[in-house]
Amino acid sequence: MRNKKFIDTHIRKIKTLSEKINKNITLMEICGGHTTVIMKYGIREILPDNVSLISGPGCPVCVSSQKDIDCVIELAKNNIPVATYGDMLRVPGTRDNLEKIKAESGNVFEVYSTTEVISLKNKYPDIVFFGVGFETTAPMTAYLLKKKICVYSVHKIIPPAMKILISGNVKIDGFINPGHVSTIIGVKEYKEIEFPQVISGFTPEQIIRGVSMLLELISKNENKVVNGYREVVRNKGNEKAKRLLNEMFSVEDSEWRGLGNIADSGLEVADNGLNAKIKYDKIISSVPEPKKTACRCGDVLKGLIEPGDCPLYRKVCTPENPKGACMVSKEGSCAIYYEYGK
Amino acid sequence: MDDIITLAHGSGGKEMQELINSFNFFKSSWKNTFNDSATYDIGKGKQLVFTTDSFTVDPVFFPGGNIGHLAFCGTVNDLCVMGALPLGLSLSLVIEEGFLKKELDKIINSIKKLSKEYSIPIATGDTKVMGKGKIDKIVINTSGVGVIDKKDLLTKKVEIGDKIILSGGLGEHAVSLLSKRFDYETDIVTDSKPLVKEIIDVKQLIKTAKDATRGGISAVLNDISAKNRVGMIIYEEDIPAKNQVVKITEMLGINLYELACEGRFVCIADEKTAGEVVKKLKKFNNSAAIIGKVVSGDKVIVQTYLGKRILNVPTGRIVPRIC
Amino acid sequence: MCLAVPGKVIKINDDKAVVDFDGIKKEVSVMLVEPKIDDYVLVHAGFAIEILDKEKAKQGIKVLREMTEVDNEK
Repeated sequence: MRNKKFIDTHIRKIKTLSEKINKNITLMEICGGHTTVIMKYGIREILPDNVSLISGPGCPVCVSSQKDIDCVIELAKNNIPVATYGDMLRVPGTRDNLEKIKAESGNVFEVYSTTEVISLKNKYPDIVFFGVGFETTAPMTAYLLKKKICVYSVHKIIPPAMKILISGNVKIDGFINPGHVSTIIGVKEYKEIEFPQVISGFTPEQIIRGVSMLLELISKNENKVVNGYREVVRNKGNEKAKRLLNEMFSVEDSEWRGLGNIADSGLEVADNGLNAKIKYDKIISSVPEPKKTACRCGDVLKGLIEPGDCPLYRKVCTPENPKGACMVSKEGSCAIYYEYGK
Repeated sequence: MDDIITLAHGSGGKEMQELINSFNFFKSSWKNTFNDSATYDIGKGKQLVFTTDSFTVDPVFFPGGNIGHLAFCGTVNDLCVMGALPLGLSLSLVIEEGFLKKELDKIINSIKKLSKEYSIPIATGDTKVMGKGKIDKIVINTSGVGVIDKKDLLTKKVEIGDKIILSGGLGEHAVSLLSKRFDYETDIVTDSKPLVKEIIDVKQLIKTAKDATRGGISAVLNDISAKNRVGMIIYEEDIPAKNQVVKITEMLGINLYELACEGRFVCIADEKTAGEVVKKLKKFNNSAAIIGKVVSGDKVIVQTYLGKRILNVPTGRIVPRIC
Repeated sequence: MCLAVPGKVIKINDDKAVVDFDGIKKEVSVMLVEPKIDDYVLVHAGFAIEILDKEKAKQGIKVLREMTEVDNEK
């Protein structure tokens, strides 16, 4: 639904509120899907100068750790067939990415839906699914676990990362919460995060309305969550999906590229027999810890520095050869700055 | 990471360009060697126009066409967008052992039918068979030649103020393949067709043309922009595309402007003649439209109903996104 | 993240359903939801993840003009 009039009304409202707040306001859209729409329609440039939108860690592909990518590459190199979503193939490990290993070994299979993994299993009984994604995508992996398919899980959950982002020296004033993660988890969990938040859908209209709702909360100093996507986000979320997640996964600490280790932010395969990390422990234990790089994605994600302040930016870290999470995805902050020539 | 070839090197984007540039063959009297077809001065104001293209497609048969249809149209269109009429084509087949004869017949019949309809003969050819599993079903190469008066070559300088014209809706070919690969039932069939008649009708009115194959209009517009050292602005609301094509791009998270067409071209015309060009093109496809204009600068900008964005040269290959 | 689009359920077969997205038809898994024919479902990576609340969707359009729709869903 394209509604220019509606947008104009909200832009006016945003302008009034931003003048009233009268300082620089940084809003973070957690979700890469929102970033895509914001970029596609040039929404940043129609906002007032003192309102900036920054992209959060909400691209599950980008925040997968280098170590995990290295481990899955090692599996494929050891002739264990690996299936994963196309999004994962270009994410850099320490030396290679899965696209290259796919070309070299033929042991990497790209799928669009986990249902395709079931058919791959007929041909490759040892297939391992490299499960990536947030709460929205994890149920599809749980379905494979139900079908007794071995999984290497890097599934992550969003609320703990949001808490980390606003701890300490924070430059963020409000969150646009991820619409489809919220479809699964509901509204309740966000209430523990005492911070201005709006759950938004994915049309430009919904996002712009989300920004104006968020400014309204900020102007009133209200640290609460507003559900702006009520047609698919229920207060309790999708309980069937949540039950399935509880059954097949356990919540554990998880390593996020750029943000480091975050307590209770990962979903690990509960059944040891189906957990590739345990089943192939011998292969994986040979993978060295990646060297710490000078990448400052974490600070970019927290809004503390601009991409240009990172020593790697543009010099060794480029969209064709990304080093950090924010350059991996076309929607990452660094990739966006790069494309716009900043 | 470039010590081996990956699929990205064959996707018509940045990686492929870099690969080709790295070959660095010696310079010769051939001109337009980085264009859709190369040209060679044969005297008396005439130019020989020459092009080649290899075709590999999964699936081999798709809604509205097959690999043979593509192999004919692709090479013909690369000659057409230079302004040349094809004199004849070569046809080389590399077939996997075990390929069904009746499927090969279907492919050859498509080529024969087009060849007759457009009076473009298959002048020479070659057939090879490779062992089972050594090649994916069938690969076809076609080359083509044409002769053109030098003054008619569609490599004229593009200027600020010129209009950008698209000959029909975007992405139908790519979507016909994607729908088959990902099991979507759609009404979309490939747009693959020879552009001979369209080009004959408008070639006197346009300055340059490019068929929007791999890399879609993103690749084409950036190429014209770079070669002519101009910027471009296109208006999203004016860009023709069928609803189901747009919907599929939304569902798979892929960029409409990077999708391949096999029977669509972009051309640039003077502001005064652009309207007439569109009128003529509409006889072949009612969606033909002016989609933007040439401006100063060096970027291709998309103006949406809200703000603007930059249209970049595609990188990587088209991968459906789940996130 | 998490690309998902709504479509209309036109056929249900056990835990699979055919969903119509503006004329494009695709079989998806409905193991995470329990839709009826003609319901709109939100589909992500081949799975329906929620049934659209038609009333709220309509309401959503209606309140487009209003500003803050504060969290009144307890």
